[in-house]
Amino acid sequence: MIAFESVSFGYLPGRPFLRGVSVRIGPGLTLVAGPNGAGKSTWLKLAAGVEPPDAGRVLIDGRDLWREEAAARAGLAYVSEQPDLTPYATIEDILRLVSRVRRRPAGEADEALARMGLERFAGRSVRELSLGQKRRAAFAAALIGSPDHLLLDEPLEAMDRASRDLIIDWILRRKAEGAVAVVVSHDLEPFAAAADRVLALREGTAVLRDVPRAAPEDRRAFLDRLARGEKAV
Amino acid sequence: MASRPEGSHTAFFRFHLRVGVRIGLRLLAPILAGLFAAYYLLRPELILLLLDHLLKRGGAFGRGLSLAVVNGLIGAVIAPRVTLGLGGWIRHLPAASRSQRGMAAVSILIAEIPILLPLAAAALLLPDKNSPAQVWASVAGLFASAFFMALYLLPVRQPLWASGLTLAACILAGSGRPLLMAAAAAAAFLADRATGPFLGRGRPKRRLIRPSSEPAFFGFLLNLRAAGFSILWSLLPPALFFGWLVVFLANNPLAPGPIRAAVRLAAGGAAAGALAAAAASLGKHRPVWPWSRSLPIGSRKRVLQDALFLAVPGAAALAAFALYSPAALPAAGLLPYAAFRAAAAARPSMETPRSPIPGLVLELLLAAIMTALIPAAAGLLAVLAVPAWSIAARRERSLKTGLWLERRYSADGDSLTWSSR
Repeated sequence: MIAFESVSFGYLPGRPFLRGVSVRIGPGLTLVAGPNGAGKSTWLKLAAGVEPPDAGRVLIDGRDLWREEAAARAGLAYVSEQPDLTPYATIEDILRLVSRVRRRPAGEADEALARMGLERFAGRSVRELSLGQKRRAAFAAALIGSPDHLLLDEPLEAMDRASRDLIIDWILRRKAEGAVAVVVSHDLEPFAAAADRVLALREGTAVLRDVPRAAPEDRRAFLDRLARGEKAV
Repeated sequence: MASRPEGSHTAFFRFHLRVGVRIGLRLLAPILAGLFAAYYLLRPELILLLLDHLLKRGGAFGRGLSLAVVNGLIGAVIAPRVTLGLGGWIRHLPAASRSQRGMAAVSILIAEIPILLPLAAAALLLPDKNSPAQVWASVAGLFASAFFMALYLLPVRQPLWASGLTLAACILAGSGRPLLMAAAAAAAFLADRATGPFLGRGRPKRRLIRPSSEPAFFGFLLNLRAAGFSILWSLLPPALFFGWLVVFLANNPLAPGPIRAAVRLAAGGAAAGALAAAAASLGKHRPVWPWSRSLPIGSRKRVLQDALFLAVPGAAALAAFALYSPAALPAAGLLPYAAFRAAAAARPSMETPRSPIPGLVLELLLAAIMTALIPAAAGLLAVLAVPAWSIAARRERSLKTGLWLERRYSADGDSLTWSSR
């Protein structure tokens, strides 16, 4: 469960980006929708414990991300749109770190590397990689262990067909296993059939709506309206 | 699932250890080259004298302050390489902010080992009237001061008083006095209690400089905006050359001819160092901005704007030397040539992993030596500025901006694309 309790956040003092947002997101697939600049990636950063809120609390399974820092993050897997990985670490260093903190055998890191097609880049430092390779590395990190809170920012961007299929399969499998999956994507089509609810962001507010159990075209029309920033009714 | 994983501290420690060692090893080669250059250019006597002043002389506060300055300079180079990224993705991993901060500081300290170890060896080996226990305490103070400076340099959420307390801890630890070192540890502990997580990357910086729409100044002001305050670092090499000149002339009774040559050498070296440092800063901070190529501005003009920007710190350094002694004036002939060479180096190609800056430093220092030995060579270099301008423009035209963007920013970089083969 991801819970936002009266969360406010702004990049500049006195100009809040999110105002008093309170939402609770349980197991299943939640899409974050909204027009450009609505704060979708920012919301995800707050949920991942990357940005601390200016006011309010963010809880993961009842644990405050900024009071019980390590425990609250134990089950998180976050993939940002532009992964800012430590530039002087190698991909192998990063995946080994993730496998250790998730208490998984080192073999899982190698397996994740292979699944994302990164074996020959394992020894390269992050600053030698292209953005696409960094995104694959961040995804490989997310694949390690069984994190039960997936926070994915534009997960299909810059991915080839095989990687897209792998990522979609992984998200749906983890959803079926009871994980909380939150996806920010302008490309809602691949997720429309499986989405349980939508978090619509608009003018600093957030509204959580269940996706209607309706015909596929009606579900898509519902998602499109929210993605365009229309009011969630 | 919410239980805290055991061994996450060890995992983070191993991660930061690897990062620190990698940065340290990268620094080792230039440091060794610098030590050899210092040995042959400045002679051991001067180096020993400087080390003696740094590590042995002065009171407890004076020694702590000098070590804090040295550690600050070293840390300012290394800390950004360690901390870049620690405010982003890695924060979602299960570790407390406090342990992340501590590990990052350890990583910085490890990366500084190639510099700290020779300083520690000097502290142990230089003659000292103090007892061996006091000498060892001063060595411990050197490392403690470096660690507290690393903590001070971390980009974290921290109230001003806590930041000041960490800096005070750095100075107190450098004193090498056990009581003051204990006070330093207490101060650092208190400051740490009030310190928050690493700052995220999302918060935009306030821009002090607005680019002008006037084409003649547009590129110049954008360069200033891209480099920001980091351009001030380019004044450090001139300051070091000036210090060398003052010490050299004070300790060597010379005839007027060699004095003028020494002034020209220092002034030329200062200009070379300032331009190379400015080029390095600009190359690091400014994107290639491919869109600008679609504007009706030629590559010669773009390079000219860069050269004018880079020449500013060099010209300032030369002006300071000329005020000290008019004998520095011939070194001004070096400036146009050096500015165009620096402008070429400020647009690094991504096709080779090598930085063009070391080559630029070597080339400009040789030019400075030539100007010092034969003042008329400055005239020749001024003439050579014209082909240097053409070469820089050609280099600018041949730069593959797509490759640069893909490696730095673009979303279309993919392990299966042509550029990674």
